[in-house]
Amino acid sequence: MPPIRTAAVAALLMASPALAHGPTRQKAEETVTIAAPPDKVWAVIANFHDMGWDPLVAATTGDGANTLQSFRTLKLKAGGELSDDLEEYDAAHFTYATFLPHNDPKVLPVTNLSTHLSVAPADGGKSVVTWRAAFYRGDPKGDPAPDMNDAAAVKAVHAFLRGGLDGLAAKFPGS
Amino acid sequence: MLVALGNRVAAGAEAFITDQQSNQVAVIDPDTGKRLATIDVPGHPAGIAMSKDGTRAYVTGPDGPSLSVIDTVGRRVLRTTPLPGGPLGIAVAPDGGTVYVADWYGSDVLALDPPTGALRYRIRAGQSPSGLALTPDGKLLVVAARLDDSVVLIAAARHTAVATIKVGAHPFGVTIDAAGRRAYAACVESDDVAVIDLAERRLVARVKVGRRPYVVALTPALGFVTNELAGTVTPFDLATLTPLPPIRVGENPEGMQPSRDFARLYVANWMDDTLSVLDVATLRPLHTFPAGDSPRAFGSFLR
Repeated sequence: MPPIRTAAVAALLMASPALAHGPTRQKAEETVTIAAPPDKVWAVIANFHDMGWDPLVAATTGDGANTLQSFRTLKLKAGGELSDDLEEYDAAHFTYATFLPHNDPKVLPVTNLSTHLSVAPADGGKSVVTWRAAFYRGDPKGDPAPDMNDAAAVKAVHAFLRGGLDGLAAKFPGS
Repeated sequence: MLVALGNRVAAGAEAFITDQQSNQVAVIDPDTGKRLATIDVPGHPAGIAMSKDGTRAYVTGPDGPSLSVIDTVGRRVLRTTPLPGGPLGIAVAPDGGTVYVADWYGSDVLALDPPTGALRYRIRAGQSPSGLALTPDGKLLVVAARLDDSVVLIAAARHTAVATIKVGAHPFGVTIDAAGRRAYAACVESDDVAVIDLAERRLVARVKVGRRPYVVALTPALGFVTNELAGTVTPFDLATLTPLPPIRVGENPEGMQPSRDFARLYVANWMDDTLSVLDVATLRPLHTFPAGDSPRAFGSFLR
């Protein structure tokens, strides 16, 4: 097969948005630097069942225990609820991980969202908080609507993580 | 170290890692981490099947949707063929005569002509077929039918299902042992590995493993499974079918394959963009190497 034929097929595929769909997992990451040491920042976020530090969340309900597979329900200020569970909890390393097994994609246009939230030391007694997410788009089948495609999912998750971290930083003057 | 026969095969190996977000296949020496080549592959490449002689790698592009055929020696794509549906899981027959591609959005496995990528026929398999594997004699094609919570056995020569075996919830990766006796399917939503006797066509056991298992790899004495949500690999004893303590790898581990001498296990960590190298004898991590953007390596990726 001459190389020109391969290039032609590749060009055809790129030029056909109707073909652009597939089971591709997405990732997003946001970070914020906070003017406080890690233990002080961790103290604010350490309770899985209290998302009071996140301005996008109106209320959190759960059993209060930071034990694995414990569920919490986040009532969002923008409307709707998300119920995720605790997958990993390591207070010594200031990190926990969550998983959202089922959700209304109208509330957040994703499926199977998992996140890692962690605090690490930074120069000058500060902290860097990192929130990472892995997820599929809201409609995992072929040919999703524009508000349920990969781009919509990536945009929504970035906004969700960013809003939370900015709210957390706002709790520490000078951040 | 040509006399060190045990290391020779592993030392000469190459890993072809599908980097889904960058539309590339990274060719890596899995024992040194050295990047040997980078091959552009369209369609967000995910699944990969290496021919038995190691000269061809067949790669699915779910977002093409397409199949790309790679000349592994020449480090180039020979051909990219558009495919219907959402091609993900892929396997190549031991004799190299047929490439099988699972349509994740549908219920069929596509049987393709390896040199041209042309569709020869469709095989009805079950809802959302995911991982594929063939017995060493090429006679039986084993399909994880994800949304049917089943593993489907297909007589390759007859293109038809001969058995449907209920397993755990949402089986994804499936692997067959060297003797062609048992198949192992990672059941993502029930956190277990289904063990299937292929001759008796029955479920032998469900081995409880970590959170959201994806892919099973086999050595003579131990099986291993990547726990995608836990960031670990769980070894399990193949004789007793009991799990051993999990080994920490990177975040979102997915594709995994042992070296030919079974001394090493190579694990693609999707979130961390790394390849973990585990020592099979000690069950300890040896190295973590960069592996490109969002490595999946779903299938057989070593030559």
